[in-house]
Amino acid sequence: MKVLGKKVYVPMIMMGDARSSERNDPPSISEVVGDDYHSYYNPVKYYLEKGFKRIAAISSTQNYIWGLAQYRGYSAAYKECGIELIPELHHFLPDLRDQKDWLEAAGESLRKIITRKMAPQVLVIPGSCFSTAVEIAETNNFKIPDDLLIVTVSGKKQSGAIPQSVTRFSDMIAEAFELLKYESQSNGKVKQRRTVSSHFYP
Amino acid sequence: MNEIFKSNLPAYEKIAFDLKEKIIGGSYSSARVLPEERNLAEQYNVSRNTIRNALDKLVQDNLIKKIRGRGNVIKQEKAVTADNIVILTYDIPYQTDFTINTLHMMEETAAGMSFYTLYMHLKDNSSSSIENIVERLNNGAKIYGVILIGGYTS
Repeated sequence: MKVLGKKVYVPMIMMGDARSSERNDPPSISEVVGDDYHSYYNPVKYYLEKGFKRIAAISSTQNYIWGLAQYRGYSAAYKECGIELIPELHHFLPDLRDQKDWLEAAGESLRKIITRKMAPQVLVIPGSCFSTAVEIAETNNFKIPDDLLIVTVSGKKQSGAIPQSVTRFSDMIAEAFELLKYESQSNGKVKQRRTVSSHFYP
Repeated sequence: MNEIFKSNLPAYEKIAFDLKEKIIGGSYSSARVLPEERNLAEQYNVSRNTIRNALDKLVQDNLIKKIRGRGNVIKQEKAVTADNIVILTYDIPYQTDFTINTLHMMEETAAGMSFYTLYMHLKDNSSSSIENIVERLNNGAKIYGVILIGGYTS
């Protein structure tokens, strides 16, 4: 990215985090990122306060900023509510390059969580897992319990009854264009990070 | 072949992306008209109907106009003088919900601001791949800015 930045003499910004476990502060180029921390914190805190104690979550890989932020949000909600976190209820997805392998890994995490003796009451999962969750369960001979409350984490608000934690793509894009305009007016010297809020819809 | 062809977008959108990039990049600047539908269908190995849908998208994007007897004429002056936003992707293992939605919405947002969108993909971080992108960015099209999407290493 630094090499590209040196050779391209036009304003440049990045959407999303760099593939790294830590952020550079200040960022080497301007960037617009989603609030991954609150995308998990908000729903977990909401249900803990409602009296649920076993809230499971599958988050992105721990190798990168966003997966770590999701986990920090998940565990912070437990800590703030004074409830002990059950480590087996959280799974990181692996950093796989193949979509099929990735879905298989998601299925395996799902199976381990669902088939626990003390099954979770709520499950927070990436939206991309949800569409295939039922299929994965059927293929792997387990069933998603009817009383399990599933919360999806995604970039687009869907209609329907499923609780959602949403960091809107559209908000990120609007912010990206705004930041690019600012960079353009400032001859590419802004180097600012803007975080787009996550909203929870129970 | 444009990296867009690896995406899950419908065939006509991939072709429209590819043609748009060629138009703005100046590939048809001497003729100022696109090849005939049947030639494009052969070139992309798709039906003429798919090509028509791709061309309709270019008409909607104000890049070409269909003129009876002349074919699909490129509105070249406008394409070259207008500002272009480049969407540069890198290291996206597969087309996720995020990338597909993002690309669509970015193109719409750019169009709403009277920008054209150029889609480019950085294959890897080798100096030849970077040089290739730099060359494409400096090919004469007026670039307003670049938005990077994907797993960029710092």
